[in-house]
Amino acid sequence: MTVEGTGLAVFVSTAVPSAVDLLAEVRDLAMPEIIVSVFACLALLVAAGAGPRHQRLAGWASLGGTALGLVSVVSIWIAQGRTLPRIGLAGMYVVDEFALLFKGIAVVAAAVTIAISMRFLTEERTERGEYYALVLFATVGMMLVPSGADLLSLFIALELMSLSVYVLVGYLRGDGRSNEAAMKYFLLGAFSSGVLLYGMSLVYGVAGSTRLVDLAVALPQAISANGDLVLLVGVGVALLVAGLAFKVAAAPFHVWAPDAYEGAPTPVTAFMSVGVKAASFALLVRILVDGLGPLRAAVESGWPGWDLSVGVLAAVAMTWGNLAALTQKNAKRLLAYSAVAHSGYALLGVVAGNRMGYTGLVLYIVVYVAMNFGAFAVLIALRRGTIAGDGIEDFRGLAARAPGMAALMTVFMLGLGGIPPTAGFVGKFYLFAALVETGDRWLVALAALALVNTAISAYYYLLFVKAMYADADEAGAPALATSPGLLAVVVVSGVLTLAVGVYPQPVIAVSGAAAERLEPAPGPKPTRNSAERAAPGGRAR
Amino acid sequence: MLPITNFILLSAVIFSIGAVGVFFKRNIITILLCIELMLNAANLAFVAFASYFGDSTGQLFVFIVMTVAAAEAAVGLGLVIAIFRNRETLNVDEANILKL
Amino acid sequence: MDTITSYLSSLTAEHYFFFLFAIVAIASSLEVVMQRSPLYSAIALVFTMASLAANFVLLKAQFLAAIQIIVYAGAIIVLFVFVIMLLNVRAEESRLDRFGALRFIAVPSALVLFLGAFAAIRFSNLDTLSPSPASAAAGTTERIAELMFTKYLLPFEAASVLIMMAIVGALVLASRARDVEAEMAAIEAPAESEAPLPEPEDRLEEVEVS
Repeated sequence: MTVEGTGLAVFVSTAVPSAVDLLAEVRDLAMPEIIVSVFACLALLVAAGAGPRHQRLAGWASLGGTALGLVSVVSIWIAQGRTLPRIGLAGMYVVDEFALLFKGIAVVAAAVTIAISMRFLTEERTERGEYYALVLFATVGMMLVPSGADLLSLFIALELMSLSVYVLVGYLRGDGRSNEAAMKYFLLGAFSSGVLLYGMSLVYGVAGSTRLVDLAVALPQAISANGDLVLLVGVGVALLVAGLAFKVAAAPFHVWAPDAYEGAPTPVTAFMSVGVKAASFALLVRILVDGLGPLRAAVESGWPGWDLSVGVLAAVAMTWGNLAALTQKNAKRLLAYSAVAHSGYALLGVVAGNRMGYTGLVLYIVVYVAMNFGAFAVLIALRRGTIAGDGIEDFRGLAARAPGMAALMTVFMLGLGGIPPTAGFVGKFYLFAALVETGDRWLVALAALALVNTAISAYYYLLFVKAMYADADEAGAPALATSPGLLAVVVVSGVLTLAVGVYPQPVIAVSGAAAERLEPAPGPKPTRNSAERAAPGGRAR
Repeated sequence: MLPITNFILLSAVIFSIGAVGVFFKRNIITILLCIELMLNAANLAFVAFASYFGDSTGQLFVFIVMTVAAAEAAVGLGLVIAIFRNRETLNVDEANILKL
Repeated sequence: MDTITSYLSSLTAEHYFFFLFAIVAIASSLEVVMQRSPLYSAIALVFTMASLAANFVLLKAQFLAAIQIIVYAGAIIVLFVFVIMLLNVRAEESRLDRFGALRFIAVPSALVLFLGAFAAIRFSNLDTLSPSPASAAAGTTERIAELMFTKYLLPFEAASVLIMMAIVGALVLASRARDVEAEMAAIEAPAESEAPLPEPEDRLEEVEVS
């Protein structure tokens, strides 16, 4: 095989200008990811250079990296806000408000995780700089996921995130629970990646392209040209939905979650329940809404769209998660089941599929970040000396010992329970109202089920409040293991949870902007970038 | 070339064998091998479709999947070693490791 | 009988190669699952991969066929074999109690999955898709390299970050070179670790993941 005109001169004259263009594009679009990757490598260097007693320096370096990453995300939003969405890097990468918001969540999640990890790792006597580097590597994955415009870039970003988190879950090597949690999470995570990958291959086989924009056009076309293909598309979409349900821990695909959450070091549990969950939802929205949007409802008569399966997943996840949480004694395990239930709530936004639903989904994830991080930060402060501090009984008498902490924990629990005037109420209100707005009988019933679930969940969230205020403390328990970073996280999360609950407009506006482009337009789906689509999509059979 | 159905059916068979194996096997390493089978099945489907489309995307996908599989193997086997050390030999020193 | 003979005479060398390698692939992947010794499972997987590489050649994906042998079978599986031998993992017991009751959901659903996929593939009329004339060049090293460094640069770079992360991750999980716990312990309480020798019994196969 030879290419005509191969020669150094031709190569230089074509390659150099395109490389310069590419670099400019990378600078405009992917700067946050580059910053975070560079700081991850920097943290590794610091970890290698600093002695065993100075590993925290790597943590400070990583914290700086997340701060710069956040600045970069915000500056892209401000500087390029009017030109969004931008598709770049040969159609692999999309920057829009949705992607930027989820990148922001990823960076903030990383920063908070690093802040609450420092004291925790000292208590566990395993502070090593590689930990912080791994948090940053996971963050790079989480930032690439919401920008994925192609199944290939989504897959590699997902794997980058997941593999880093598997390692973080197993970080406490001497702890059998940590090992076991990591193993279980790894095996089921790798299995679900395999399922997802096979689904991708079948969808690619029908559409002839892995671009999400091409999929949205080519899949319905292929089905209408050859009705028999609906079977193959159906199997592919079913595998994709199952793989995604694993990733967002929606019951019955949540079996890994309770063990992984319980066994992981608590800051990593917080990171998983916030950062990984937000990125997994971004992945789900990208694949289902952007790529498979036209298959939401039935394309061929007699075959349901994916809205049915996602609706069933949401109902099962809410109910299963809440009922299972009722019987838990371990706080991390309880919060794991509560996270399963919250996945169910968030899926309601995807099921509703209207503007309010997508706004609600984004809003819910944003407020969930604040409430969940606050709750986990309090939990981490209870881990001190010889006390594991992850049972509900460890909260006994907290009101007497640390009144401020107890009051804020109450706020987080009310927020997770969706009780006004907290942020959780606003999020749930949007999701449930979106379902009612559709006017569909089944979706209204789903909203009613969600309401019943909210009532059930109030019981176990209030268990924490009862333990803190009504139960007596055993004497002589050591003081809480706090640090300035941890206190800052608790206070800021508490203030946000209350402030968003009282005055939600700014957050609603941002969420609405992020969700704007997910909204289905009437008639044929608007083309994001029609030039990108010329190639092989929509091959007629 | 042969009809594409042949290749896709072969990949479905291998995928199903791998998926069933994941739930049947008890040994962590063997489960990892079954997951590799699933990835291989997906690779075959990608290559088959790519060849019939005359489109290299599917082949690039397979290339990236191989990279992911390598990374997954490294992390998974690292975990296996950590578990093995923890369960068996919590305090092994260098001599004991060499003896293994 | 006539139909069979006419069918057989219509077969080309390509058919024979495909059937040969498909049978080897299926048999060896069954062997991966059925073998009780992880070492034999890994070796069976090498056979699966080699026959899949042959299928890649039939599909004119020459570069991937080479990579499949060199990287997948040659490096990744050898890594598995190395760890299996290092830890001296022996045959597992035939008890099947992993994931408890989940198994009763998983196996039927895997079978349903397979039958569904089989039906979907069989009846989807995929064969109306004839090989594209461009496919002959699609699998060459040249074409793949060109795409990798232009159109697919982002996944390629992300893959490099992934490999970096995997190295660090494997080190964190498995290395003992810089064990802070040990270093701290050594600083505070030197020389009281009389490590017990590992029991030759209960090896890795005893580890319960469920």
